[in-house]
Amino acid sequence: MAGYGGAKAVPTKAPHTKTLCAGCAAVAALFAAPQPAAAQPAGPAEWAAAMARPAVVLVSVSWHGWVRDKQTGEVFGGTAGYDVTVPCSGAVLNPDGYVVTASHCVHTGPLGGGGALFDAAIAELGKAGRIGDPAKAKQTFVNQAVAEGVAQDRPVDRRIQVERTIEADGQPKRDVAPATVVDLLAPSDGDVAVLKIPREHLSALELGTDPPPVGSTVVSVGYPRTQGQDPDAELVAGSESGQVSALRTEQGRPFSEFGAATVSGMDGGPVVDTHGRVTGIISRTTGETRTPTSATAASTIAAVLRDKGITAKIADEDRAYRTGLEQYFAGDFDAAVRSFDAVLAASPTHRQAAEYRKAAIEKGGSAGSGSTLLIVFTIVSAIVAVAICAVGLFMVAAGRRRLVSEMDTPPFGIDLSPVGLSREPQPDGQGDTDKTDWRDRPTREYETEHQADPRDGNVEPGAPLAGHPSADKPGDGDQREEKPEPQRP
Amino acid sequence: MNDSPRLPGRSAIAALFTVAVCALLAAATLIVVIVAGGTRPEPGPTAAALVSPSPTPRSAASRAAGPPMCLIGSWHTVEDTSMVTFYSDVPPLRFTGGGRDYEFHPDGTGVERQDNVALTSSYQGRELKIVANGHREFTWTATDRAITYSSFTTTAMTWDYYDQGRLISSQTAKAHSEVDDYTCQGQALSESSATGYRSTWTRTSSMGMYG
Repeated sequence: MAGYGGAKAVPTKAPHTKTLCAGCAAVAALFAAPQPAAAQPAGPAEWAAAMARPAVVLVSVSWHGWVRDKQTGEVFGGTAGYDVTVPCSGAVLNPDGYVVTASHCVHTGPLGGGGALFDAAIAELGKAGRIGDPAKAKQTFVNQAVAEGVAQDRPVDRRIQVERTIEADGQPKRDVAPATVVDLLAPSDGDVAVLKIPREHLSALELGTDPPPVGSTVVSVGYPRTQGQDPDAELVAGSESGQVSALRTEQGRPFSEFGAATVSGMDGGPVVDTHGRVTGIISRTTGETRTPTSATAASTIAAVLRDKGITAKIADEDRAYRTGLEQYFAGDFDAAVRSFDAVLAASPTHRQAAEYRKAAIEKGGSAGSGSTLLIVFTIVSAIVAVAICAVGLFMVAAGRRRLVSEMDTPPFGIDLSPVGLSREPQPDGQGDTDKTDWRDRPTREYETEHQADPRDGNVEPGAPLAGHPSADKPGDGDQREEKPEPQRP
Repeated sequence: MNDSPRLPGRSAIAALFTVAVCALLAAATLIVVIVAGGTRPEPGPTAAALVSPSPTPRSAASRAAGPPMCLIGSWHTVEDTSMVTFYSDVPPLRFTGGGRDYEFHPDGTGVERQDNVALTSSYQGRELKIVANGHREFTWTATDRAITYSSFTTTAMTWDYYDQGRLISSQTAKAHSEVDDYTCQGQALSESSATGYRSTWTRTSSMGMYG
């Protein structure tokens, strides 16, 4: 089954160069070299599988019971009964723990768990030499046998658990949750079951609305069961793509048939279109590889969910994951890393996001590229701030120096009173040079220049400035005009 | 004309300082943003999923043991060896033959059918034969090594004893209990007992077979 599990779209590792200097890197980022070539998926099928994989779960159903031939009364299973575990697949269609799978995976009837127990009995009878044709034997059991529990007519014991691989401490880890059946359509009448697991913030898939057109490409995703083995220890979902070959109706329920080969274990797994939307779930595969495969239509799934008041929906992190994938496959690894970071922030155990994030980093993406730009901007801002401060201080200092020097160049000296200081010189007790300077100032020239301020226009001397208090008011600072100061020789 | 140099305007200096302060504030804010954003957010609620309910082990359950699956069904003897007291004053003689039919029902009942089944032997050159006809019903139990026949509920079986072809006696089967060792595997069953009884059986399809 080389085709299964081999479709992982996570790219191979690329050399990673450590940055020696964050600042250098930050500056270099401004002049970054062209991005590495895009990690293009092999095609829409791989893209769709990459989209679907986080929401595909392993549905493991354990059955315990006995089989009784109602005609002869013979009970098969000995004292301990049969333990049968049936692996299936499922798809999360609501982040709050709602999983959809095929009902024949969880149904107790002959087409479900009862049938699995029949198979166990038939296998045991075969060893005892009591089976002629196994297929006919199975049919005989379907007709005249019943699977039951610890006592006659008691139900068989069924344990459903949903498994997925999560990211924990940088390592893949299986998260196993018990599941209950919320609702189902019998295997012969739709083959859909809705399960609930005590988990939240699960990765979910979008449920399609329209049946896929005949001839369109779809991808089946699930956990194929290797003969005699459990699914991959790391639970890597496999995928197979094919084309829709027919749409049909069975007992009023719509089904589609498609050309992707599926095997036991993938039952209940989603069939997605090239946009990653669920168009159906794999229905009734056999132990053999089979094609075409039948898929329950999305409309049937939607109806079951609707009857239970469950809404098929995806979460923001699912959208972020989709965006990250798009960015990753477009070669925008920096953006992809940021998107996957957003996914991981909301869902820290999102394994695929962690894998793709790692892959994006290995391809040159930087988790801190956004911060790098901020750092650069910060440095520039700081430099500008310091420069402005320096210029401002320089200008102030220069102005002071100029004023001091101009005091010796009458008649152009101007009022030395700095902005905000009192017009009257303030004795400082250390020579009172201010007083001297103030007295030496040619006030008329100052006034002329002051009134020539563009803001003032052609204001006549003595006239109040527009928007300013009248200069004629007693006590106003302009009284100095009436007190001409002696000029320095 | 005024050549006097100008002191920078108040507004210009204030603007410069304002820009500088804004730039500094911006830089400080960005540093805070960088520091805050440089660390990956703490795990959200999904971290709790790791400690969410997990499946619990199934409690042990059992039913009473039924009869061995292999025995149930129909059988035909292909080779019988029995030690039979043919003459009252002669120790038991070894008779051989085959052709008996048995059914072991899962409810613990069974039936034996013999239709002119012959066991033959010889004694001092004399040809001896026992011919059985009829059927008998019984109940049975079994462990994995021994079958216990008991409670013959119906006995309509006779044994005719022939000495040199001449019928010398005819007996009706009597109720009795019998315990035989057995081995059963697939299509073959063998029985034996301490009395010298040996029998090899093969499974038939008239009962107990599926498919």
